[in-house]
Amino acid sequence: MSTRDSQASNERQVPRNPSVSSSSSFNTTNNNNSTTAANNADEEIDGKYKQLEKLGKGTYATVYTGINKKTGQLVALKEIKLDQEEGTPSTAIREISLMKELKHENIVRLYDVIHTEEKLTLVFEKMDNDLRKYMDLVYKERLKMQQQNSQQVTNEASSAVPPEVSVLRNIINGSEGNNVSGETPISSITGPPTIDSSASNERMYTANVSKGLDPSLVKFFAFQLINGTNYCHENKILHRDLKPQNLLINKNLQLKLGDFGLARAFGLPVSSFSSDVVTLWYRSIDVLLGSKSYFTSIDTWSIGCIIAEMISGVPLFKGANEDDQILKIFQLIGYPRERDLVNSGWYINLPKYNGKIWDFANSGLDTIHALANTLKLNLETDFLTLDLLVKLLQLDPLRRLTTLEALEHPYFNDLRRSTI
Amino acid sequence: MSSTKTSDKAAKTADNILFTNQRVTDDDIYRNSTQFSAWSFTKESLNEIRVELANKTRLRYQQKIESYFMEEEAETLNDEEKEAIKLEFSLGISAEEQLQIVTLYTQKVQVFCTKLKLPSEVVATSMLFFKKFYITNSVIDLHPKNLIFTCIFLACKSENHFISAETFAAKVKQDKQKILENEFRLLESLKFSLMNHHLFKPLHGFYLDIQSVLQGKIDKNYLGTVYEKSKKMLINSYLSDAFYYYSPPHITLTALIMEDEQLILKYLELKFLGFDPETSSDSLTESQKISKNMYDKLMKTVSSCKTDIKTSFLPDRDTAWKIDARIHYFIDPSAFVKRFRAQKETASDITEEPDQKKQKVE
Repeated sequence: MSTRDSQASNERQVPRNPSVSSSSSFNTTNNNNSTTAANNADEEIDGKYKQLEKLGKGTYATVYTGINKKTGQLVALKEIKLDQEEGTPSTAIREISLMKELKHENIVRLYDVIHTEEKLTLVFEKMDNDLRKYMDLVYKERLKMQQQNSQQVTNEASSAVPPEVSVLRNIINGSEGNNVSGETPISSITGPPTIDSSASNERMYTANVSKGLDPSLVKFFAFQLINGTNYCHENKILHRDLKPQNLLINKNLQLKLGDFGLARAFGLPVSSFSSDVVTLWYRSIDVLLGSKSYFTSIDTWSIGCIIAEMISGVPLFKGANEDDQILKIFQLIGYPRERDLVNSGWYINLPKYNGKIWDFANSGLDTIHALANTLKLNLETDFLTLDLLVKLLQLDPLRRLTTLEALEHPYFNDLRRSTI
Repeated sequence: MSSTKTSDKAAKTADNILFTNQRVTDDDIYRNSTQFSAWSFTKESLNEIRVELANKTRLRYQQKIESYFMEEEAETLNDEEKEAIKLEFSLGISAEEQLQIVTLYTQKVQVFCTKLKLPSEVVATSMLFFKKFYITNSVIDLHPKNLIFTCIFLACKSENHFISAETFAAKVKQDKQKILENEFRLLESLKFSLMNHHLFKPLHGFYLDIQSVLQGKIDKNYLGTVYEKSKKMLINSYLSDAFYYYSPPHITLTALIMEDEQLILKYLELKFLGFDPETSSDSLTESQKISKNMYDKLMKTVSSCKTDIKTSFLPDRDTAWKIDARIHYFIDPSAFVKRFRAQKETASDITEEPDQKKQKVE
């Protein structure tokens, strides 16, 4: 589901039918007619999808590209093997349970669940790439363009398409220069804030090729990421495993949350979750310090890390283990200290609290400078970006922005203004 | 050109957030849930589904049993036995009988869950899974006793109450493979929609709201007892069909009213009306009339919900035993013949006895 190397897409011969590509035409899960017993559906479904190339293998599932034989719609087939010991894995049960309820433009849709002899197949909306792979491809493309440019006259280069877009063109058209398919060329359907190619070009000439994404694209992705997470939180669901590998992207530069295997519904009271969730680099500081009662703030921390990673191209806190992760966070954000004025004492009772050392270390007063340095952002022109990040990466979980607050942050103002 | 189109779309997304900046209510979530779209029924539609299942099953088994007796045991049966068989199996298990026996076993699910000290959500989900399975499956095809633990185990998984299959099987003293055997069938019958909006969250909400609306007028300890008693009633309400007909807050409110009508009506009056509901409509202002209308509508729903919660499908012991025996005959028709012959023998013993006595007297 989450992967797709461009080679595989070269082999794709399936005609795409734009009229059925909208998700609404697949709304088979929401069936009001309760008399359709599941037994009947089984036979029909069996011949419904055809399995194409393998995309990847996860801990409990293998993902394939598939095609709906009737409509030609491409889908992602997540095949789950039945565990002889435990039956259907509880992660799969949880994912099905949650995904059945979540219908949002920034969340990968679960179209169908198919039960065949020995396995369970979840039929998901097909996406083209995951955020991590996409960023890698953009970087490679940027390097390639720089090499070409050094051999060419400067003028020609100015008409070049930014790598954020050309990478997608490669995915869709199969190979470069082979632009004969009837589809709209991707260069004309970029994400909303048109990518400023002159800015990208400027960067190309610097010896240090940026690994990050174009700032306007970062903003567009960030908005969709927060929007999707906000929908989860409104539905009282925590994702708990937000990371670039779980964020999926399609050729329209839509970003959607995927992989809800670790997600869980929350209600009242919220306590005693396992602290072994969220891949280390995106794990919030309170969870790292051993907090077991966390809330939506666990996801907003991850969002902060991901936005920073989109800007710089590298993970913000790349800890080797838990202690190293904690250290890296404190080194950048600052330590929580008892003598600080704004201190709710959120960390005092956590298992890994070590006040004696922390109290003499750096305070978190100049986080914004530290972030600007690390991400190579300008304190004045990039102020809104930095401000949002600082507010998302608050050590104190209660002071972290909620997704709704984040959506209203002035950083996103120009996305809103464009309608008026 | 198309680039502006896409940016419009994104801006629209932004707009939706900015301008329709309303809080998503629990009711919105419920109305968009599969519980509402796939597992809510009108009484008529649910009854129709159940009757249809009973009819289909009856026809299917009639053929099967006919051919069984015609081909395999035709020669050993006398006319009287053939007649009895015809009579016995022509009835099938009616929709009503199936509902009775399923309710009885749902209660067993509840008892086992309580023994296992599972959280209320898991208990409720287990009961719902069990009941829903038998909306589209006949008790003849899978005897309810074989589904009890499959339901509880799946409910544990879907409600995030982790317990390994091994431990679970050991705790309930059942064969693990037997528990897992029907899990897929169960998942399928549930249409893979596993999420339930339970009654305990609204109960907690009402508990808090009653306190704030009736501040200073109510003893907190007393309200605590009302809460506990209502919770028990709510768990029992999962035995009824109320969950298919009403939204969770409606059922919860009904249970609260059944527990202490005076208190809850007072709360609702203050909450929605601010005046005596008996006031004649002539002396009400327009906005008061609107509130009164809503209040009356709510009361109507509550009263019909009350009937549904109170309607018990639990069979008495005798009926339950009879239905269970008949399910058994469908599964093993030869058992019926055996029983029929045995009954005849004892019956003839009884009729012979008086004769013998007579002879002695003579």
